[in-house]
Amino acid sequence: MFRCNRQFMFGALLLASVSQSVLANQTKTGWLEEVSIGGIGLTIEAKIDTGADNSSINAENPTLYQKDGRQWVKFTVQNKNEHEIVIDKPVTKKTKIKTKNGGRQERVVIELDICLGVIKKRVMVNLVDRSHFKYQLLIGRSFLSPDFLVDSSNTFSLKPQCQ
Amino acid sequence: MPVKKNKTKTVLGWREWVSLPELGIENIKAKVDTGARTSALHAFDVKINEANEKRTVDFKMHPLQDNVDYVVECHADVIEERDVTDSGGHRERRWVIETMAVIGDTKLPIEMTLTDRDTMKFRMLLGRTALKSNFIVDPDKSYLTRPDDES
Repeated sequence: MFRCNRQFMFGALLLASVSQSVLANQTKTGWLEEVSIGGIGLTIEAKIDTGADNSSINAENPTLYQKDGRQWVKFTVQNKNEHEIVIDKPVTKKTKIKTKNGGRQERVVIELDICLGVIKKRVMVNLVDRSHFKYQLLIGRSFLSPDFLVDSSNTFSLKPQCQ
Repeated sequence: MPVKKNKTKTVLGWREWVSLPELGIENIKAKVDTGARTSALHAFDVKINEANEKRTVDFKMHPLQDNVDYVVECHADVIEERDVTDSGGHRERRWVIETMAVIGDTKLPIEMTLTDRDTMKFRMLLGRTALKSNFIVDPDKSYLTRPDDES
């Protein structure tokens, strides 16, 4: 019985130290960062938003079409230097978003590679009209967890350097 | 050269329990939101008193999520009126108050705008201005300063 308890204690300690080391590996990011998207890399400014579940991007001229029996979407993303890329992706799903005034909005969701610092991930991204917003890309918790800690006093602290 | 303070910041989850003792709110669940500059509090029946030199505000709020029966009546000093853009891109003129907030072991004055957030899940948003001197945010965690079952 005693032995069993000791093993349990040891296991708990091991678990505690593992979660500590995971914490130590988190990268600090500011609330505004340059990230690259779409593999070949367009660098754009992104707001790092712990209040958002998912990420969303300003898609210019989105066109939905059918290819190989599934729905695709093609759109343009432009950065503030007016460099742009065309992104052409299959539609992963369509989602309904609750708006502040109680309404609902349908959004197209795609999977997109985003690189922040040295970490590249493929995450679901909502296509939105963010033309009246300051930042083209909003990065939510599904990208940030569990790799990043967000420091609201900092901006442009990382450069996109993914392989 | 200015002295740069390098104090260790407290890690918050993306949701935390907050106390607002000056408003009589013992516990309110706040969304810790680096996407928002200013903090916001859900309020209704907002009445501004301009009779005295100091502008004050009376308002009511529902501090509990999904519960509109429990009402707290609050009173605070008004700092100013400010134009705020919400997450949907709408501009709105809001009253701004300053009040003491207790988050874990940290007690600090924060500015909050008053808004009708009854359709939204969180009755309070903790924005960047309130976070930047004392806290960093772990988007993978919740309720790091106080367990969730303590409400």
